[in-house]
Amino acid sequence: MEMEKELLVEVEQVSKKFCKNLKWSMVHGITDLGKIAIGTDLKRNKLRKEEFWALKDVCLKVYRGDLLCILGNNGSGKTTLMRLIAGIYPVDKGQITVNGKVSSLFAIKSGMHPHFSGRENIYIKGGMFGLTLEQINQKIDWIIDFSELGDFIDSPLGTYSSGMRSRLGYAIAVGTEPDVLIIDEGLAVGDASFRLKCFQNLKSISKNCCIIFITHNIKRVKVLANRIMVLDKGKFVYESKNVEEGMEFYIDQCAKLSSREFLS
Amino acid sequence: MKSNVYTSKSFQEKNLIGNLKELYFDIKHYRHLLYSLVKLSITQQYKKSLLGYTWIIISPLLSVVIWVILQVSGLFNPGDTQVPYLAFVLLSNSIWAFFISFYKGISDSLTAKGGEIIQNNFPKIIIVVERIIISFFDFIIPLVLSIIVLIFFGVKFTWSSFLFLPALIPLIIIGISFGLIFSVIKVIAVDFNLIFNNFMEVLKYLTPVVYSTAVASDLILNIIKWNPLTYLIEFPRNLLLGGGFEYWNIYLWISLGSLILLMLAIRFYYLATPWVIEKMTL
Repeated sequence: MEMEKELLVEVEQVSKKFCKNLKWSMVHGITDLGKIAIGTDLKRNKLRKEEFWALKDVCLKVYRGDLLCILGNNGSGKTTLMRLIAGIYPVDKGQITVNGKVSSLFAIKSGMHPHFSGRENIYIKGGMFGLTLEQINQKIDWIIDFSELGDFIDSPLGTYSSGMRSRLGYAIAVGTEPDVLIIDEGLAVGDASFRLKCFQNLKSISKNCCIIFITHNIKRVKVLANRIMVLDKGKFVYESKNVEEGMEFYIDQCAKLSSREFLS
Repeated sequence: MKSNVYTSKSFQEKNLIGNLKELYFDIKHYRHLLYSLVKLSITQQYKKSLLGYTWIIISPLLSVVIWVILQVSGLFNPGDTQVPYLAFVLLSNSIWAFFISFYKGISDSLTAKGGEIIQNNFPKIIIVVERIIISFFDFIIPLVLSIIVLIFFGVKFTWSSFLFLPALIPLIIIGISFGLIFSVIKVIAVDFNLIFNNFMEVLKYLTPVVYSTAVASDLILNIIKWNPLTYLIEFPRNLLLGGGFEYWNIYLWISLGSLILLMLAIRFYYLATPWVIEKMTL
């Protein structure tokens, strides 16, 4: 069974470094631009002063039908990995292959404008996701319907509650019909009934795509995921199809960390 | 199905021709995003205004009225220019503002859209093209008004006036090129942009914009002579105002140079932009 599944995302030995100091970040940045201008190699595989590996030799394979949850403490590299897969950040080492269309929900409200109506925002945000006008026209009824905004769809976004905005944001992202859907804490807001609707929707669309989501809400993992991975200090430390076990591992690890901090 | 492979060398695989092809296909595929962003830029400044889009006409009209008052008062009248001084300044100022709008608009584009760029993977060149369209939009309406005022003040336009806009292309290209280069640098550190902004301020007075060469001193004349922008501004301006222009061969050489500059800037933009995106969170 496993072999027949279609591979959508393959992350091979990927590393990503960042600079933890603002001044040095500027110095390295300008040096890099100078190197690009004269055409020399950037040598991204070595650490320079004040740099650290946010991700180190990470491997990951995600197949169609996967509902993968990535757990990890703050700063473990979850969002960085998602941005690499989405193609927002360039990789420093290794290779990422993405087959199909990626839609990512990082901050659910980003790219939305308060003076413009929900409908206008669908067109703007849809464009950001790479949809053409025809594709948006095809999907707009579904998006309006799913977001349950009713008459509010033609009111300025500024009049929406934060739950309504995130409903719209979610509906647009799912409306793009991606092969790879990345959700980074995107379901943090919205009322209980809408969350349930999202979960059901995610379950049903996951058969035709893959969903990678990041959350700190353990309950959500239990309901949704069919695969779980734990990231710690830029490395995967746990992987399982058994969600319960994975959660236990994560809770143990978190507990260990907090007790360590408590003792010291 | 579309497959994307990302490595640290992904961006070096293409050559300049590849970058230009990518640019063409990105604009074609993302034309709806482009349209949305243009509409957004134009409409969002008037959304929360009672008069709404009327401001698109009111703002340039007000500045024309101010210039007319100054002209009628006779404060600005050195008297030794071929055309009325008002006409000269009005036109020159709008050409210069047009040129600067490309540099300023594009050089701010990456940082201004940082929030969106860090969340969505879309071609960054789209926001550059959006700025270019906005610059044209902001230029055309004041230009038409200026021309009406110029006709009113007795300036005669000839058939060569129609070549005015095409003749501005090299100047536009230089503005775009500097914009592209400095948009990338601005994400890392603002110092270079601050220096260059000030340089541009000074440059305005080293180019015959608000004065004619007839009233300049010897030193200034020498600088003006070696300043490429002089020719790029004088040629279109003289076309519009019907004056002669004897340096058209210099103009053509500088135009060729500006095209080479643009190609280098596009190349730099495509190679460098991916590496500065992670700095946008800082």
